[in-house]
Parts: sequence; C-alpha cells; structure tokens
Amino acid sequence: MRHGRGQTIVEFAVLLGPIFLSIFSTMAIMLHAWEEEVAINAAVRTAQYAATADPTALDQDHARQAGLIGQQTLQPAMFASRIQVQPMDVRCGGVPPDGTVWVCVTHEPGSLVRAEVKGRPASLLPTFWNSSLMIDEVAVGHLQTFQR
Amino acid sequence: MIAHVVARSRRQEGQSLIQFGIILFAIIFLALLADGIAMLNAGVTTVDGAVQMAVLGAGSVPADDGAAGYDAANAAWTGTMSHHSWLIPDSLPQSCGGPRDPSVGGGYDPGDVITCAGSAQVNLRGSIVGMLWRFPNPTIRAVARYQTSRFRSS
Repeated sequence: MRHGRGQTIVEFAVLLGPIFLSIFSTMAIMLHAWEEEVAINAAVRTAQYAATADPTALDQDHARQAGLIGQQTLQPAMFASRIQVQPMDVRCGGVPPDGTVWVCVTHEPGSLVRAEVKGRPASLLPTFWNSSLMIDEVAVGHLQTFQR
Repeated sequence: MIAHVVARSRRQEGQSLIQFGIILFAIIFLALLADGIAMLNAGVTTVDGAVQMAVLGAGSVPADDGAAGYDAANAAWTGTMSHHSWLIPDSLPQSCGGPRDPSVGGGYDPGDVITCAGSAQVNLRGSIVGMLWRFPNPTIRAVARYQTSRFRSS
C-alpha cells in the first residue's frame, strides 16, 4: 500500500513538468495567433498611410510616419518586445533577433508601397521550443495619384 | 496467488496502453484543431486587409478610368495575398474597379462609393491540418467600401 502511494507521488511529480509545459505551450501558440492578427492590421494601417504620400516622391518623413502608425498598432500586443521602424526602402530581410519586431516601408515598382511587419516577439512563457515564434505580415497599397 | 498477481499486472499494463493511446490521439486532435482555427482566423484578417487595400487602390486613380482602377486594386490585392502560401486567392471581380458600367469605361464618378468583394481559399488540405480535414478547403469572403472624394479629378 505504502509502496503504491510512493509510486503515485513520483509519477505525479514527473508528469507535472510536461503538463505545465503543454499548457504554457498552448497559451504561447494562442498568444502568437493574436500577435499575428495585430501584425496584419498594423501592416494594413501602415500601407494605407504610406499610400497617401506624394507619388512622385515618397519621402523619408512620410514613410517614417507610416511606420510609427504600425508601431502604435503593434505596441499593445507585443509585450516586452522592441518595435523598430526601419528607414524607408530598407526591406525586412533576414531573421530579427529574439524580442524584436521590425516595421518596414518600401517603394515598389508600379506606384506601389509595401509595408511589412516582421519579427520574433518576446516569448513570455516557458515552452517546448527555445526561441520565440516568427511573425511576418505584408500589405501592399497603390499610391494616391493626387497632385499638390 | 503468484499467477493471479501476474495476470492483474498484465491487465493493468494493457489498460495503461489503451489509455495512453486515447490521450495521445486526443492531444493530436486538439492540436490540429487549434492549428486549423488559427489558420482560419489569420485568413479572415488577411483577406479583410487585402480587400481594404484593393478598394483603396481602386480609389487612388483618377475618376472615370475603370481599367487603371481595376489594375491598382488587383496589384494591391495580389501583392498582399501573395505573401501567404497557404491562402489561394480568387481573382477580383471587375466591379472592384468602380461602380460605373464597364461599357462606358467603368471606374467611378467623384463621390461614388466603390464596393469590392474578394475571396480566398484557406488551403487546410495542403497543410498539416489536412490529416484531420477531409472536406473541401473553406472559402473566406470579405467586402470593403470606399467613399471617393467629391473633388477627385478625372
């Protein structure tokens, strides 16, 4: 009887770790899904603002403002992450460091602007995997043809 | 006595194995279900955003130019959607170029509301969720409207 109880306690202790890890991993995936949704919205809002630039000269200031709109949209969802607005026409290439999210605005051929939100938001919970999950969302807009 | 204990031990082992199998199946099922829901959720947001970009594109060109409006809408739509390999976008309807009749050049008159509807399939069958999903891929539809300026030049 005593032997059986001891075994149960040991089994329970051994299983506790994986059970909590499973619960935290599921929560991390759900959090990631939410962050992805916010990232799509941020990319769309950034591209919408960037598309209102002067089509003959998409300037650095306007692209920066567009990037800041993306940053503001991302801020409430990206806990403990750095959100960096890249200079205009610098693509979100490569893999950002852990806990960093980039907002990139680039001018594309055919009077298009491309807003990209790419990053690896800080992982808040212990999970089965070590690094944080990647988000990469893009929105493309057509520049307004208004002239001053 | 010993034979009885051995038989009980074997029976328990078999029961544990069955329980483990059931739990494992349930965990895999729930994980795939969660993955499928996450894909659908991201798909809805992406299609919604892409249609918004498309309708904005249609209104970004001069009025009365249906071809340019449709091209701009289509460029925004395909540019936004092409980033996701698991989404299969349908082509945009011509009405995304503007509400005017295509026989008179299409496009929009200043002050018109452009309505654009886009749709895409979420390729669940081509993903890991396909292990579970045995039905046709679900289609997501989104509609966006854009009020053009009354002072827009043609």
